[in-house]
Amino acid sequence: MKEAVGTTDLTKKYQPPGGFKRLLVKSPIKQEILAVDKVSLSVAQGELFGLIGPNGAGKTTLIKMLATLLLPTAGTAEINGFNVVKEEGAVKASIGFVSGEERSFYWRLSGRENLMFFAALQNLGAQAAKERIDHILKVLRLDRAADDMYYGYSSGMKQKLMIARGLLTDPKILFLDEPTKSVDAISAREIKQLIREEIVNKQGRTVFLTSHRLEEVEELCDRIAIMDKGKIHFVGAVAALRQEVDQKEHYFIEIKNLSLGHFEDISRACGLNSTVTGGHSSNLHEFEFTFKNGRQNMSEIIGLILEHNGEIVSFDRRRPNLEEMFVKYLERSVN
Amino acid sequence: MRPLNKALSFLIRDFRMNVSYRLSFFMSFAKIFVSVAVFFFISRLFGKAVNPYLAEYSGDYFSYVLIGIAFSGFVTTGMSAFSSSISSAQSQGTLEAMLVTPTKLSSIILFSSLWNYLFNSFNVLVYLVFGWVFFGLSLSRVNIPSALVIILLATLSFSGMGVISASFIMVFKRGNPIDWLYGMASSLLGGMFFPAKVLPVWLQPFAYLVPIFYALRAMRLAVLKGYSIMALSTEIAALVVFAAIILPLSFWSFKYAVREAKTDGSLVTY
Repeated sequence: MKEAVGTTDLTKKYQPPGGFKRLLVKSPIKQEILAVDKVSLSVAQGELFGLIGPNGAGKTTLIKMLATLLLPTAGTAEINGFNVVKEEGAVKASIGFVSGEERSFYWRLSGRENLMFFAALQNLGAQAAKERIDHILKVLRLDRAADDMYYGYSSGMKQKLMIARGLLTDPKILFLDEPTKSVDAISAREIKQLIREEIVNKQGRTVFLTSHRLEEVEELCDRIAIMDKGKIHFVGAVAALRQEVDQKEHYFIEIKNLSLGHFEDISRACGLNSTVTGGHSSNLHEFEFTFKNGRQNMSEIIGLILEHNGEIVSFDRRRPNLEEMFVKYLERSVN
Repeated sequence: MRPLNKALSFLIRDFRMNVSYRLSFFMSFAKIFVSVAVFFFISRLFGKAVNPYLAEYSGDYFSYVLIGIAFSGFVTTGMSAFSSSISSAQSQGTLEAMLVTPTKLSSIILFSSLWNYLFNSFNVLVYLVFGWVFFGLSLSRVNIPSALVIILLATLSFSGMGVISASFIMVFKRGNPIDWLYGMASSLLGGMFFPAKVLPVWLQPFAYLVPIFYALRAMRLAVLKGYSIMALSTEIAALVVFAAIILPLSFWSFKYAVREAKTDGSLVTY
C-alpha cells in the first residue's frame, strides 16, 4: 500500500540561543534538548494512526515537523511523497491540520466567516469555498450555528469547527492533535464517529492522530505508536501491544458464602494467580485471577466454587485496556 | 486571481473585526477632528513666527503640519503593520493555523497589513477633508499623480523598514531597535512637525539620511504647490534609491528570521 507519512531517522534538537542572541533572548532552553530522536515511521494511505506518549515525549514536535512548522535537525520526512523541507508548499496542499487550540479562530467573526477566510488561504475560490463550507457544516451538524459569532460557541462546537477547517481542501492526510480535548462525552462521541466513519471509512483519508485519551485511541486507531523521550518504542496494532505487554486475561469474580481459605484452595487446585480485590461484606468477596499456564477449563473452577457452597454473584473477563498497557510498557522501557 | 482573492479575504476579515468594535471605529474619526483642530489653533498662535521658515511650501504652518501628520501615518503603518500583524497573530493564536496553509508567510504578513494601509489612506483623506471643510486648508493646487507616485515610493521604503522590524519581532518577540531608531530619527529629522531648517546646522545634513524627509517634502510640494513628477525628480530619485537598498535587505532579513524561528521552534510563540 502507498505510504502517506514516512520518516527516516527524523531528529529534532533544540539548542539554547548562542552568541549575541543569548544576551537578548530569555529562552526556556538552557541546554540541548533532544526532542525527537531518529524516528522512523511509516503510515499507509487510508490508515488511522495514533501517536501516544506522556507529556514532553516529543509528539507535538514530531507532528509540527510533519506539518512543516518546524525544521528537522536531521533525517527526512515525506508526506504524500513530498519532502517536508524541500517541498513545503506541496506538503501543505496535501494536509489538513487540526489542533486542539481554541484560540486559532477569530472570535469576533462567525464560524462561516472564519472558514471562508481560511478557505481563501487554502487557495479555494469564493464559490467553491462556499459550497464546500456548506457541505462540511452540514456533515458536522454545525450549519444552524454557522452564522453565530465564534466566541459564543461551546467547546464541542469550536472543536468541530477546527475539524471543518481541516477538511476544507479535501486533504489526503489529516493531522489531528487532540481532537476531543476539552469536549464533553457526547461531542467526543460524535467527533470520533465522524473521524472513523466519515473521514476514514467513507472518504478514505489518512488520519494521524495524537491524544491523551487512550480509550479513544484504542477505539479508533488501526495502529498506534508509543513515543517517549523522543523515541518511538512501539509501532503496531493495539492487539500486538497486548500480546507484547500482557498476554494473560484477567477475570473478576464476586462470590457469596465462600471463605478466603476455600478460594485459595481452589486457586491452588486450578493453577490460578489470584488476589482479593474487594470484600463488600463478611460473606461477599471479589477476586481477580489469571491462569498460570494459559487458559484453562472454566467449568472446573465454577464447579469447585459451587461444590464449596459458594454463590457466584458476578463474573467478568477483562483484558487490559490501552492505558494500562501503555503504563506497563513505559515502566518496562524505563526499567 | 488567487492573490487577489486572498488579499480581499484579509481585508474583509479586518474590516469585519474592526467594525465589530463600533465605538473605537467611530472614535478614530473624532480623534482626527480634534487633532486637526489642535494644530489649527497652534498655527494661529505661532503661525506668523514660523512662516518665514516655510516659504517654499506657501508659508502656512497649518497646511504644513496637517500634511505632515496625515502622511506620517504611512510611515507608522509601514513601520509597524508587518510586525504588529505577526505579534497579534501570535498572541491571538491564529498564526499556526495560517502557517499550515499553502499561503506563504510573506504573503500572510503582506496581506495582513493591507487593512492598515487602506484605513490609513482613508484617514489621510479625512484629515484633508476636515482641514479643508472646517479650517480653510487650500487644496486647489494639488497634483494628484505626483502625490500618488510619492505615496507609492514612500510606502515601498517604509514597508522595507517594516519588514526588517517584523524580522526582529520574529526572532526577539519584543523590542524592535529598527522601529525605535527609525521612528526617533523620522520625528526629529523628517520634518513632520517642523522643517529641518530650524535644526542646529550640524544636525541638518542627517535629515538627508531618512526617507521620510524626501517623502514629506515631495508630498507638501505636490499637494500645496502642485509640483509635477518631473519637478520632484530629486525627491523621487532619493526614494527610489532608498527602496532599492532597503527592500532586498528586508527580504534577506525576513528569510533569515523565518529560518531561525522554524529552527528554534519559536515561530508561534510570543
